[in-house]
Amino acid sequence: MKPILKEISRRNLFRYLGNSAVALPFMRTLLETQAFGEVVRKRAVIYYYPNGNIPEEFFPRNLGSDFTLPRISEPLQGIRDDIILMKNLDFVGSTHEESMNYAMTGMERFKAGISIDTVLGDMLKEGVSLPVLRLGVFSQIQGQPNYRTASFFAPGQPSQIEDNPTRAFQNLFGDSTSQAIGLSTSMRKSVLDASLGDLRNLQSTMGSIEKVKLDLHVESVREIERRLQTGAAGDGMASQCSKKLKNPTVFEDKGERTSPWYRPENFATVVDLNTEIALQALACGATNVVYIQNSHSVGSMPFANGAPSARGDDHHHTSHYNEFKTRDDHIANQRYFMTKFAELITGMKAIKEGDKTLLYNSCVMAWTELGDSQAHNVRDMASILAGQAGGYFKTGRIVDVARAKQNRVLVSMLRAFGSNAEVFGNPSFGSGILTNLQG
Amino acid sequence: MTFRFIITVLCAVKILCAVSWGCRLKAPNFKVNKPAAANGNNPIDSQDPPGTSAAERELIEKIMSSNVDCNGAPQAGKASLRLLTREEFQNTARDVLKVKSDYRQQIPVDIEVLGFQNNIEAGKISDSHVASYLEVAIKIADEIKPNLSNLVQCGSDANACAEKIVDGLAPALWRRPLSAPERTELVAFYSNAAKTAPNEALTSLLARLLVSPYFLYRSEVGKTGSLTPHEMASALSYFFWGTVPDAELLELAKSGTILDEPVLLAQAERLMKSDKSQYVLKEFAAAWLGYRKIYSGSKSPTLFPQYTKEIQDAMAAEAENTFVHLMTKSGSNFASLFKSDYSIGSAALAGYYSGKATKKDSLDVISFADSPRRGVLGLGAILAATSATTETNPFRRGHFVLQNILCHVPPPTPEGLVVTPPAPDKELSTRERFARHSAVPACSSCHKQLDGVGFGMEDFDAVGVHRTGESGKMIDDSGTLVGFGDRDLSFSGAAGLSEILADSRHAKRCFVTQWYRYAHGHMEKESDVCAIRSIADKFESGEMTMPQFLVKLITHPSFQKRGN
Repeated sequence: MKPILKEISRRNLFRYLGNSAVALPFMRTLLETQAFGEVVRKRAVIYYYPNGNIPEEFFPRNLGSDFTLPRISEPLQGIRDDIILMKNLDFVGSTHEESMNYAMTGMERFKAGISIDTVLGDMLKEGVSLPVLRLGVFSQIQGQPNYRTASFFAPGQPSQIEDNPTRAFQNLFGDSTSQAIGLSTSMRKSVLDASLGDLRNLQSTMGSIEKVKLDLHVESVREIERRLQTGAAGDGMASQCSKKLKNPTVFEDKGERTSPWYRPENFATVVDLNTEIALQALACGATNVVYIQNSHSVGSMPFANGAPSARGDDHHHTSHYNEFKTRDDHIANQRYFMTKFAELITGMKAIKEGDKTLLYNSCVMAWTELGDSQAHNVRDMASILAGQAGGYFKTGRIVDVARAKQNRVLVSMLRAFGSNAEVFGNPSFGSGILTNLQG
Repeated sequence: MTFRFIITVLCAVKILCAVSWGCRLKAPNFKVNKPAAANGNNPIDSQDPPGTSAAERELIEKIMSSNVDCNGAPQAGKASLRLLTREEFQNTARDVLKVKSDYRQQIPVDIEVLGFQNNIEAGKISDSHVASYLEVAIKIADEIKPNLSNLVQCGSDANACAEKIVDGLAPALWRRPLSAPERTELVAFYSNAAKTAPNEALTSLLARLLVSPYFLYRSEVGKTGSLTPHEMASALSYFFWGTVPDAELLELAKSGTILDEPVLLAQAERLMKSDKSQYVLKEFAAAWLGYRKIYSGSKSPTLFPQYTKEIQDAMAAEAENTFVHLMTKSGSNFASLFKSDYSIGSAALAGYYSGKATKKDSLDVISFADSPRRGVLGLGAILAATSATTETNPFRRGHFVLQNILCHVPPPTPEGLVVTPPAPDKELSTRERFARHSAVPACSSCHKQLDGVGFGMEDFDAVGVHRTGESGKMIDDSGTLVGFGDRDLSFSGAAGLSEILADSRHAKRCFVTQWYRYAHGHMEKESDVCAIRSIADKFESGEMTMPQFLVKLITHPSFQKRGN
């Protein structure tokens, strides 16, 4: 396990911060970050599920480690020792989409900010080919663009999320079944080097015109070159690194109006494939940060009998329980996502790393954009923290965060990975870690 | 009834509501906050969503106002690098390299800004962009390699082939001649590749051309303050046809004569006249009217069994074909966009609307002479896209008209306000249910405007069908256009609103502004105001047909001249 030394350069910061006055305190604290030596590679997984929850059906009555999970969170029973549920946690936002944009940036009302997955990806990119793996299910379709966006690679710039698991897997591990098409790694590097030459020439003639755009382009090319140099996938740390999928469903792009990975009958398959791909990517050391986005705010995919279905009722509609369908229907639907999350966590726990596990070395955060779906508020958010981040978090408990806002959860995550950050996003929403996450 | 009345009154006096009904106020003594001001005065630096900052609203006011001194104001556009959109990328590969495969899904998603997919600020390249572009470039190279002789005169000598690619394809892909050092570098790139990995050399060369910023960005930067001949040729071609300049444009670019005003005008007219200009008309319609959004939502099959996949497709086709027709027919004018009593649509759609299927010069036409369906606000795709799965959404419709047709972006919901949609109620109409929210003082200041428009369109249901009743009552489609003119204007139904918009100075000048945004690829800045005003003044006078307007827009000094 190699030590991780991370010094965040001014140039990297530039890419993230733009001209944002609000981000300045963050910048100051990041600059003060000392290079830290860690023995174990820590990982982060962020997991989004859509359309909110029902707090009284999600949170146990009492605090502490002796708790009974109500109906929606009951599927987490098998992983109860590895989770923390936070009572009285609030987000910021008047609508689904404002909260969606806020949750990972800490910025309200669509204000431009960079998201936590991007920041963690940059902190943890040493030795991996991909700083952040972003997997989606129906994440780039339906609704308005700002409903679908929680991840930003630069302030105000939505990250690309891969909704086609076949392509995601191929991008990670290459297509071993097809003939050798494409270019060798060294030729790819030559091609990218040449584009850097073009960019340099262009920059010298442009002066200050489009400077931000070209600087970002240069950074992005350099990042891909770094990735090429690191290699397609690191040394598998575990026997679980097979670089193969158990269920190798292949989604082909035949240019149809509705691509197969967007057909409702395939929703569940894509969810399961993403879980497998995430586990393989982490087990094989291809990335240290995974973001999984299951649909998006106001996601309308059809559900029937508590599962995604070719024909069924609009998930968002059902979330307005007591209006279109019943409370039980919404409970059943959200139990599905809890079940899938539990499968991901169980999978992470099964990957051994020395005498510990991948889960032990990771911090996982599940979240949704509304508190109570019917009341349409952003209070009592049904987020889930999982994994111990190498011993930083003390799990197996329900804690009370006393109306703290999400910004402090994000700060706590950053600190778990060794940052000195005191704030993330809009500093007026709170500073400092949530101390009770550590026990 | 009494219970509901009490709740409404309690909400109206700002007491925290115990039940989820209408506007829930988080705290007493609630105040409506003004939208956050931009950081600094330059809207580009604003962190607020596009259109919502005070600075941007000021610019719209200046565009609309009758009293702005633009004498001697410089009118230069912004020097920019415009990232190819998915459509432009695919069209370019198709027209230069004759690719048959569809690569659009593999190219990064265009980021949409206020409806437009071609915003230059949003068009930035992340690491995932670079990775995607590299993969697509390699795939394209591998697709065309076996048939290179179709593109360049190539014998069996691979080295000679490489030089042919450099001389033939590079300028076409980069949309300008190569400089001598560039040519040398490209030939050397190939030679080095051929030495180390001969099997990969051609693929590398082609890929290298396709991942270059010279390919990925369309340059509209200018030299000595004006677009170069090649930039102008490209700009015309991508604007009207969404692809690389054709041979005629390239010739004129090579000689430089494309910049002579009569030549420039003639070329713009030629491109506009061609059927290929349907590209720009459909792309603009998608941004301005948002008709493709019907594919993003679904409708309840139990409530709307008639709204099938075929009808959905027919509506999308109707929206784009009707817009194309209204923009290009003889005597095309702004008013007809709102007042036309027919659309270009299939017989099946005619049946769905209960309109009359006829023909007009071999076009399938639906006549609405006997019904109150008029213009773009009568297009099923717009009415459906601005509605929800089971019912209309008057707020969304109001927002659409205000933002897209009148260039007024309503302020965001006030901070601290929790927005809850109204619960279903079989005894109440949509209007009655939604009106409860708007009656609350915290909401009414903005909702006066939104509701005035949205409620007035309730004569069309969530799937674009005309209706006179709902929940056992007559539809109340009375509406008011508030805040655009000396006085509030009352109307009845979508057609009534259309009558007002057809003659509205605001709507006309907004139309010009929207087209300016599309042509230039960015939201207007201070330096664009006078240019937009001068074009809008001419547009309002009615002297220009629509094609003449587009030609004027793209040949205007503000487009040709560029500053930082």
